[in-house]
Amino acid sequence: MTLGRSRQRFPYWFLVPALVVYGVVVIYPTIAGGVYAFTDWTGSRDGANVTGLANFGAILEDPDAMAALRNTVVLAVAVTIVQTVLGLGLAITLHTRLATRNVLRTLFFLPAVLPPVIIGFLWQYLLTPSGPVNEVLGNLGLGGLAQNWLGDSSVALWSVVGVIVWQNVGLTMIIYLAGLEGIPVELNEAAAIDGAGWWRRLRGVTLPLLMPATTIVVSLTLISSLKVFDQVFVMTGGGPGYATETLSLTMYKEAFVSGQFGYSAAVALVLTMLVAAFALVQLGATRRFEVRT
Amino acid sequence: MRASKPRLLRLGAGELVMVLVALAFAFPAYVFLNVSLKDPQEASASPLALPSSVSLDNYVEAWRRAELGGAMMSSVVVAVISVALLVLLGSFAAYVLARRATRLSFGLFVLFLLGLMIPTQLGMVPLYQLMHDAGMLRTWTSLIIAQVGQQLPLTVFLYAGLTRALPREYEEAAYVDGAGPLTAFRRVVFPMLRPITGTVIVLSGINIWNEFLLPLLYTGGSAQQTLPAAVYSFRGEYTTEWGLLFAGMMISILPVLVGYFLLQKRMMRGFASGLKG
Amino acid sequence: MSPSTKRTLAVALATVLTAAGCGFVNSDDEDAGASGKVSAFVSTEQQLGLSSLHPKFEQSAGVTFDLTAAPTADLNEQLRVQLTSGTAADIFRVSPGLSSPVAVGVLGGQGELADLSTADWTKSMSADMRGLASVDDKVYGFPVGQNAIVMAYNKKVFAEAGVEPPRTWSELLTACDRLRAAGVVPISAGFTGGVYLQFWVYALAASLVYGPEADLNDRMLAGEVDFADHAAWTTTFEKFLALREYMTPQANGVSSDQSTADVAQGRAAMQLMVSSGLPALFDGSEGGAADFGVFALPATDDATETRLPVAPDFLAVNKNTNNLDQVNEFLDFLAEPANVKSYVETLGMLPALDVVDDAKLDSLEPVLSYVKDKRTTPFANYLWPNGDTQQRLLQSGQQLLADEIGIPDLLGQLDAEFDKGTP
Repeated sequence: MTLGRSRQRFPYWFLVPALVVYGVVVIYPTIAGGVYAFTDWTGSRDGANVTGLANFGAILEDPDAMAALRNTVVLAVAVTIVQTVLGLGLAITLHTRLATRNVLRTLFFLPAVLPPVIIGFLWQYLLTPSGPVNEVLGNLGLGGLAQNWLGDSSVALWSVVGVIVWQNVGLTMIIYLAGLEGIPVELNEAAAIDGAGWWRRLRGVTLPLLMPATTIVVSLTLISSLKVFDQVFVMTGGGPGYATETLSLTMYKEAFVSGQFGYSAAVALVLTMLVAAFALVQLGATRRFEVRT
Repeated sequence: MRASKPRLLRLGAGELVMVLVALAFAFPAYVFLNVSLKDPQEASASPLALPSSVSLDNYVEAWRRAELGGAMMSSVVVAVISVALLVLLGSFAAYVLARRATRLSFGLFVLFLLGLMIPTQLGMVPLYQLMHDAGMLRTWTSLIIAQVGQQLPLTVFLYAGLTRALPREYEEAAYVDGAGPLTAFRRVVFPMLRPITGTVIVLSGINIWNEFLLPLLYTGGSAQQTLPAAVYSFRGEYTTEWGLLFAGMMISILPVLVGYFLLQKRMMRGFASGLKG
Repeated sequence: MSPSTKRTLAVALATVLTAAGCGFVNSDDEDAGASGKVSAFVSTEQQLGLSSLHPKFEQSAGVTFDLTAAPTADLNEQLRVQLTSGTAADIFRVSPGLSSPVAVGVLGGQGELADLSTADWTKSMSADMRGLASVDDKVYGFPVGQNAIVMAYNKKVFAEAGVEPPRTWSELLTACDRLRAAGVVPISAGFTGGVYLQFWVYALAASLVYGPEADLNDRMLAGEVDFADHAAWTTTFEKFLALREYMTPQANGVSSDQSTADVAQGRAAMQLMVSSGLPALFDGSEGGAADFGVFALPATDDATETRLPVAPDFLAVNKNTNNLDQVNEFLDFLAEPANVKSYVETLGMLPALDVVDDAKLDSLEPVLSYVKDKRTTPFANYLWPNGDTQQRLLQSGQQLLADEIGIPDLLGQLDAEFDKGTP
């Protein structure tokens, strides 16, 4: 296709309305707010002093912030892997001709509809040591697996991972379902006629064709779990101790507990850079596997 | 294709397994529903047991005390208009970004992507001041603009990502028939995007529906208050009225669940059928 | 989508929009700050307390109220944004002392609040209360009521174990032993997020640290005394840990609601809580309030040394309000004895102004004498110079409970935060 025809068929003015709204609501405010990262602003109307990179230096020297950084990465990577695999499994299963598939899809999707704050409260109750989860485990004869889910500093982060996956796996499933709808049935049928079994059809046909969906799923999950706030804030507040402290929590506390809005903005910028770095690496990696049509 | 007997059996077994998995999955939701149907005393005594008598008292009380009727209306207006705008703006923008292979379009795509990564807190104050200066606080307009702006990155990302996977032949055919870009987009491309549009509506719709801080900031206390801000009035500093909160939540997610159930049948059917319809 | 559905949708949308047409533009009479219309941004608790009062005032004074409420944490976040943008309500809730970026001391110092010193009701404030509401001797906060940290207990469980409400530390330990022998958890503890853990520190410190030395906080603020080098602080945390064996096991993972339900249902005997949590406890039991009693947590073997930790709940006035007269009238109205009474009775709080002594507060009856005899101390965190010290306590306190750090570590950390001063 020549460049001229491309310009004609996909004119840039299609972009203008979106860019205007995006610019006003996201870009301008972010830049205006990001500037504070280089100041000692405490939220007062008197303004702030420019302190250059001092806030960033302070983050590097703050052991709490560094621990939060580590927790954030661990949590995000774990959530992304588990949620992607589970979501894919659900989508493939529910893409078949199960009679109850519509009801099941709605059921798996249900947690995603609830506000994250409510999910946090609900699970805080469910995961209490004498609570329903341990009770059910005990009744199933799996009492040995019972844990102090949110109170043991070596377990709490994984409990949070579990809750986030539980809430969002339905979204992953939906994206994969949309992707599966896009795969022509004939391709799988042809492979079946050629004698390919279920596993080979999955690996040879379905998964490669799902690569665009995977790119989307992995990026979205990674990005949103790096930024996750509500569930952690409600369930553990970062505790026990600092075991589930994440950067988004640090950012919040620095602003609305400590009143260090400048420092908080700096943490926000660090978080943004972290997310961007991950997204870049991940996009590069998955793009390579995408099948071009 | 007619299913053979062993295949049917396998399907049945698979079905059973999936139903069991789904039940385990839905257990927390059961607790949620259960508490909303009980009085506080019973909820405290036996949160998991079925309610001794199904009482809608919490629902009635929540509806009355949090004035959920008005809030529901606000939520519906804001969500419907925001999502409609998102679909319109997002699909147009993403189509160009996905189909054009220039450095500019890639740069713009990355710019939108960046919006996914930026914590909203960073721009909270400046955006609020902007809305204030524009005299739009305490209106749906401010909320809709803010919501559309914040959800655009997700929308563009979803549309662009999945548009790239679509075959170009159908568009080509439309152009050969002499259609302009607008007609080609409306007649051919947009219908093909139907499953993606369904996904966009669902994902951004949920985000908008559940957003708490923005609506509280922009419309809190006014007649334009949306559902989450209304329902959270049952939360105190140290304690929460769970029965009322959960009942209020049930009321406020009902429209989303119904919407999703309808959508998944109509919208997720896939682009093959989308082309015909 | 078929054309018919499209048409239906369009019609529905048009109907909704027409019905609600005004929601899209900001009509002038809706503007906050217009005179004759007083706007207020309060916590959800305050909303409940004011719900019967502000309509009365609206009628008598001929003003309209525009009341917005949010849970405290969300309110704190929004209020800061609104103040910075010059859109804050005429009246809003502020935290006591210097405990958050929207505390009365912080905002008063930044010139955001109207000086209320000349109001008559300031004469009915106790010295402690005045201290938490003032900057440089100017009063900026109106106390609507005060909460106390009390030990709430299940009367039936106590009776079955043959236990009376303890008045001294030794009696408390004996009571715990008996309750444990009777097969119940003596002390219900739900410490997720550390929120209910901090109450233990404030309650013990009231009697052990601040009670004996009235000027201690001033000396700490002046840098003369530290957490680490003051023996009373070490004792405070030692006594907290001494009670650990009687508490709900794995308390760091137990939610506070769960621990309240345990007391309500008699699975545990008592829980240390803020008095505003009592209604939730009463709701959880068939017999309601009659099933429970409260007492002040003893920390020494001299019952007269026990102090009750109290915390006022404040409203403050926007310096830039256009309705100063109406707002002052409203505060005077709230300060009338009958209205103070109505407010505190609705919420089960203690009165914060010394104007009523006949409020019906049955459930708090056993601790009212502390207020009358001035044997109260503010929650420690409201005396501290910033919110960071409290935040550190919430999280490192959990580590202390789990034996991940020791008392000296914790005290050192608290000192470091305390020394940061007020931002």
